[in-house]
Amino acid sequence: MTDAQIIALFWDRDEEAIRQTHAVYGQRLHRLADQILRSPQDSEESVSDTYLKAWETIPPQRPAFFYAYLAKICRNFALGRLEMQSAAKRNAQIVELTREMELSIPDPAHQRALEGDQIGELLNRFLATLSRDNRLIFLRRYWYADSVAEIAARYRISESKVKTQLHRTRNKLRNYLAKEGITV
Amino acid sequence: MTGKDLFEGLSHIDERYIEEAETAKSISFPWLKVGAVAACFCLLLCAFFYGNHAQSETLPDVENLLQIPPAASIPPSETPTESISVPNQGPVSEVPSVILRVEQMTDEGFVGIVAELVDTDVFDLGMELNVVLPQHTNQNIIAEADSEFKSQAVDYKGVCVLVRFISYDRDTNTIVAEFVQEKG
Repeated sequence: MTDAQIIALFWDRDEEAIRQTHAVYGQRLHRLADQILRSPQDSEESVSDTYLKAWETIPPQRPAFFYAYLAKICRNFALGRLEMQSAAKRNAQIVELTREMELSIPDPAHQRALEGDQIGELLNRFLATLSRDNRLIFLRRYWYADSVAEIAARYRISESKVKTQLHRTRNKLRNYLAKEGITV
Repeated sequence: MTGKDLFEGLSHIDERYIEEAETAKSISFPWLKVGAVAACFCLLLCAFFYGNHAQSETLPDVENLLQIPPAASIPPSETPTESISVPNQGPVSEVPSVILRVEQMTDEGFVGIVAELVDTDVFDLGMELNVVLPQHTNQNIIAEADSEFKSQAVDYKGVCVLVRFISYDRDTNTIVAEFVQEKG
């Protein structure tokens, strides 16, 4: 079933929409949540919450990119659950990812508070400046929480190449944020 | 703003980037760029070696068209007949010729556009050439075509001339003429 057909089911308030969404995207959403949470039970709950949220928001939404729409919801739920986990239980990889992203902040000690959507808008503009290949590697790492090895295998390049590209992109992000006046 | 804020802020990026990172299965950067660089390098090598085979001579002092002595004064031994190498035909045994349409008179001769290929395909039709007239160009033939020409700086713009040349410098698109005759 195509995305358009599934979305039409949502609009018709036909519960078959949930079953079809699960059939087409369930596995991928589960994997995305698990990359963040490293807990099958928590991941399953995040995915279930995602279906419910989709049901509540479609309509009026009619997403142009259905999987991306679902993945965003799922990621947000997973991150929310991560907050609730104890420090000891938190996914070591996510801790590592946030530490890596810290390297892109020009001056962490003097930052003005930004809302999530403001940061998102900043990042959108930054992502538009990247080449497609660099953007893919960056988002697979920091959006999809793939490991370096997984990214290297996905694109059939060396892990060294992945690390080099990530390092360069983080530097570019730091320079971009500095230029945007993130440092106060 | 912290690394965590950045990491979470990614949840607000454009869905098309999320979709792109999920659906793209390959990266073109490594192979295309390496291949393109290799191809450029090969082209440069070919151009270098081919260019070294083409002869370019130091241009003699040139005089105004009006003061060029007769061709009879040219010692035959000083007329290189094999200085031009034609890409598809190899070195020519006779002095090649080309018909040019005079575009502009210069102190050294004139600038002409290739109007017709006679016995060499070194040039392309429509190509611009700088024509340098050596001291020993056959002034008489030109004088016969237009007796006023040898005493005035007549503008021959638009006139087609047959040029027999003794050398061709590819770098400057300059030919040294042995003989120039108005075609009428």
